[in-house]
Amino acid sequence: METQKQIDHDLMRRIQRDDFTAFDKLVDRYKDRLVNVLFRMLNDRNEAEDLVQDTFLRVYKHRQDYDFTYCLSTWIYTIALNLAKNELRRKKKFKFFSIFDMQENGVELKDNKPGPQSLKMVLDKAIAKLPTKYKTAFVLRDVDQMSYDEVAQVLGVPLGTVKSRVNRARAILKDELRPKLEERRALSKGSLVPVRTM
Amino acid sequence: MRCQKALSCLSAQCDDTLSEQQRRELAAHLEECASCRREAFYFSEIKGQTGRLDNVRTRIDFNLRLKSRINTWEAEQARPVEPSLWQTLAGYPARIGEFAHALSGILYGPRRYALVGVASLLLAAAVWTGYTTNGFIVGGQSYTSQVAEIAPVDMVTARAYLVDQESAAEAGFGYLASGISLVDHASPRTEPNYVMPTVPAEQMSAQVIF
Repeated sequence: METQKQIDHDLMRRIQRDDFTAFDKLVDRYKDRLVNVLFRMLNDRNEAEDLVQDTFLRVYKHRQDYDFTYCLSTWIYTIALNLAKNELRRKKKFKFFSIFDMQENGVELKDNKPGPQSLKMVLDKAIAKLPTKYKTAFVLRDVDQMSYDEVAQVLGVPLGTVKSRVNRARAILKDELRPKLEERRALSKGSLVPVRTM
Repeated sequence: MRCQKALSCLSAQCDDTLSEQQRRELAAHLEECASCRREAFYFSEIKGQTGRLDNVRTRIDFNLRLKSRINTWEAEQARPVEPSLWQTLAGYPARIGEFAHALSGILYGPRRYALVGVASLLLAAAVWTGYTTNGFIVGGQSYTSQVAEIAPVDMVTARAYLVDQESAAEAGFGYLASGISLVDHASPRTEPNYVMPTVPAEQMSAQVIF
């Protein structure tokens, strides 16, 4: 049975021979995963999609430079995450005021409905607020379901560092979401009275 | 297992990467510690909720837009890059240098005498031809200064056609014995195409504009 790596390498060999059908297949294999990861990183769908386009454009431009000793997915993810980091750095440098920021800072978003959807929204916001290095590791591991080894390869850091960053991200999220999680815990126990947190 | 150790294992428990012994010890600790049990619940909830987050997907025209961008890039790559003004200006000294180098190679090279000889012969041939024909070689036929004499003074712009004598005689232009007729001039006195209709084009051997 062909592994994902072999499939990717076969596609890449065909792309190197200017087979655009193979490139289309490669794009289809990764585009949704990438856009999902970049959306979690940037919190902007349009930007995420633009960066995924840039990623594939770079893959196509540098297709002849690809080194088959490495995993293709690692290469693609590294490009995408570098672009995302550049974008985040640029955003940090030139801070823009957006309606979203104004809502966050001034007006409370309407979110009083209890239940799983509400928790999801809070979780979305909490992930967006994570520091970049924790967020990157967390998104790759928990959102994209990558293995720790793959995350370590993509980020170019030791395995222990990845585990520590993911753990740290989960701990931050746990603290951020504590009230909502407590509500949920109380509901799951069948009691409507929230349990006092420590 | 103590609480601190148990808390450090909770993230690994979410990933299911604990050893069998660690798992057993953690389970035993969670049985008796409500606080750690609560933390374990939080971790598993975060893990579960993250897995259930709405996935963002690319738009339907993603591949088309990407293809268009690639085509644009490939077109740019195929287009020859025009040098900027600065690059052009910067290239002149190099070209002058190259020309000087090539010239010096000829002038001081081993074949310089042969080249000078060939150039001298060509010059001599040109002078000799000019002397014998009393004019210049144009389109393989020669014409003389008679053309200028025949042309009326007021015909500033006129075209002369060299025709052979027989054709001129047939056309009834006796004065064209010299083999020259004038047509299409700017003078209002003489109509354009004065000679043209009577002299077939294929019989005209050369055209001189003056």
